[in-house]
Amino acid sequence: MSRSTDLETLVERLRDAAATLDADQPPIAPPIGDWHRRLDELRDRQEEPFPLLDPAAPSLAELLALDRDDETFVAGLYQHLLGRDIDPEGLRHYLAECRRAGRLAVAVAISESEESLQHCKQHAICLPAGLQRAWRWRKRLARLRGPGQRLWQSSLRRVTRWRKSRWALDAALCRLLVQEPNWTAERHQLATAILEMDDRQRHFGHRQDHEYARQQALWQQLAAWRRAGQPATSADAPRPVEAAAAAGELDAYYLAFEAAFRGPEADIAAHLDHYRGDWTRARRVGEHALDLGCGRGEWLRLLRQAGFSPRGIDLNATMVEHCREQGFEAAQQDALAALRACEADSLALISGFHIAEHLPFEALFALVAEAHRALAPGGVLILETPNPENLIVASYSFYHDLTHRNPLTPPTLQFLLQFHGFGDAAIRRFNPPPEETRVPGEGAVVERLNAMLAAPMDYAVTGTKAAPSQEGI
Amino acid sequence: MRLLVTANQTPFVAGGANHHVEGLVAALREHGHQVECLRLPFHYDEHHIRRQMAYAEGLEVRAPNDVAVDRVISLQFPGYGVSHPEHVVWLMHQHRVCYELYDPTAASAALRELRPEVEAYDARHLARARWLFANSPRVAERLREHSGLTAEPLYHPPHQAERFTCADDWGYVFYPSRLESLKRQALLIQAVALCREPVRLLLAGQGSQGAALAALIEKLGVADRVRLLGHIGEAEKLTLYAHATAVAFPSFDEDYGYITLEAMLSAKPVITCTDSGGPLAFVEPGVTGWISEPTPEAMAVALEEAWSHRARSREMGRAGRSAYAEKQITWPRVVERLLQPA
Repeated sequence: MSRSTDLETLVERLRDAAATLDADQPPIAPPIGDWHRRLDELRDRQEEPFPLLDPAAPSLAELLALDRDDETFVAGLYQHLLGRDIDPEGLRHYLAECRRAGRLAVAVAISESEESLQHCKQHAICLPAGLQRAWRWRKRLARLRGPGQRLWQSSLRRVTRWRKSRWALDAALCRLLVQEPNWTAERHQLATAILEMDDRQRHFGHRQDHEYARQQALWQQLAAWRRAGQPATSADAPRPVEAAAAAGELDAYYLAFEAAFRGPEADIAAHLDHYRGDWTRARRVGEHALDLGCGRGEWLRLLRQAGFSPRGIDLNATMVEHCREQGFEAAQQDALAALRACEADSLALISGFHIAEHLPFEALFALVAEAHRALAPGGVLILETPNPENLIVASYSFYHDLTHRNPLTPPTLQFLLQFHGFGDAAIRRFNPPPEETRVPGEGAVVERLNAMLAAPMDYAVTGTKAAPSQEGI
Repeated sequence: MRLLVTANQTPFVAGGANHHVEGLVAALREHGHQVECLRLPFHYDEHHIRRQMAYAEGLEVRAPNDVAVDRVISLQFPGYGVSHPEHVVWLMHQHRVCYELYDPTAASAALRELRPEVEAYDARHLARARWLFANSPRVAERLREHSGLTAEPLYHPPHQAERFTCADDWGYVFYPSRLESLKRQALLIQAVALCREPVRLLLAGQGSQGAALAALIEKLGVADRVRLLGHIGEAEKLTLYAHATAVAFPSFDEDYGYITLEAMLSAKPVITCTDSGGPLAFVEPGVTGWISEPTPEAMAVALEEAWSHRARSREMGRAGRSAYAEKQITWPRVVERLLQPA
């Protein structure tokens, strides 16, 4: 009976483990690490220093290893002919012998030893014919003692001189032939590991797309939920508006100021072309566009060319007049009031160029919320403002305009849009300062300085009002 | 490319075929192709089949509504009867009741009459396909036997292959499958009863044999070692694979068999039988699993080996995972083969 409980415990344990898996929802299983194991193997694989093409029948060239240094050669002979690692004493002795009498003599001496003969017999190793011939020669010459000894050594040297380059080539070739199958196998192993990683990468990519879509849907839901929880604000309920009693003189100042500091109308038009993708996208949703703080009407002109029927509002009566003179529909109105007067889901495009930095936070907060309400699904909101990532902008040029309040950092503005349901809110930076602003030179300090001094001077956050979420969450 | 995929639609009857069709369409789209999946209603009745064959043959798929289609990929009978100069057939199986499941003694008059028509239909259309692939070597083999045609076996990965993983061995053999005679759970239970080692067996799934198997477990007195888990969810399935010692797959004559692949993905050795069909193309005996005679005695030997030599079982599982990786069973590879240049 205890066994049955045993099985019960196992099933319980498995169900528990499965429940955690359900909750965690790992989209991709933790790696089994197979490629990791393969790559580890490849990294740790020890190259045999002195492999033989056929260990049972080594060739003389392979044993002499003339493409390797003396130490490898002697250690190799010990391995292949005696079947053991070389001892320090033997190494010292034979290294000296290599220098004195040459490798051929060392090979003959080691191969002729009792230990070698024993080892070769035991492991059925057939020594190269060249070595065996050399033994016979030495035996014959040994009878002549001194002169024989000298003749033996000089003949070895002569043979070596004559065959040396050939032997070196043969040895290298044999080694390449031995290693070649390993390389093929290793290449295969490497490719398989990489392919497996690549496959996982693909799955991660999918998952990322999926999560991104989900995140957008979440922002959208959050915004809807927030709106539902708020008392409905009626569009015509009057709100305390910023002191708008601007004298004509002040308005005129501002028009002149714009011209002096924001550049000629033509330049601005060129800059606005950066938003071509956004207005094209918005145009698919409808033709109604509202520009908040329309100024001299550069954007209105562009929108009309793009097939919109645009409307502009501005607090500055002179600017509004300027726009009307050019045939645009423009009104002197507060941005928030203008948005509140719009019907829900009625606009394809809402833009505000350099107005966000004029507003107190409460007004900006309400403006983004109202914009989301007024946009049709698929409609686009654009807010452009000076970029305080640029130190000169943040500490100096921002304050040219005395009606600016405080710089807005890109992540803050992006978050504000996301919070109100623009799940895809993205930051784009424009207008790098002139090249001469950069600090000349190289190095970490210069780079750091230039990142601050030469960052683009304006940025925009653009967001799309998502279509009603398909995905139940 | 503009691609048309033809497949069957059988309302409210789900199965592996759906995963196959949807996986293919998704993979083709992911590779940047314009894909439409043309689902043809299917009803098994002889009278309907005759009409469905005629309908498929008459379909305009070269340029429906003057929109040119670059290639047509057909997966099922009778959808592969459409005509297109660049027609790829990737055969799941033929109309089985007219082939390997045909029993002359039990066949109705209507089926007897239909059979030569289906054979003629297959001969007419399968031979004309520009490229002919089979779902597995077993399907290719049957096609050669019945219709004398050669098809290249082309594998596809199981559903959510990336979610399978290997975790600590908790000491049990796992077999997830419907409880049907052809799946042969009974053979495994009998084998466990013969084991001297305390081999534990977990069987997942439901089916017509549930009660009979429960009775068999009782009768053989192995209730302390064999458990019928009933229906399991996806997460449970993944967990059961991950912690298993080995996976058993003794089914009779499978077409393809996702279980083999899922076991290999979970780095588990597979115990299968000499007549199991599909799995035999993947299991290498002694390296990634065992191929036993379909007898309780032979199965018991394999079970005991897997149970007693855990280190070796683990090693075999890892070898299975590597073998899977080497076979390139991925959708990108499927797309590459199906869309090879003309």
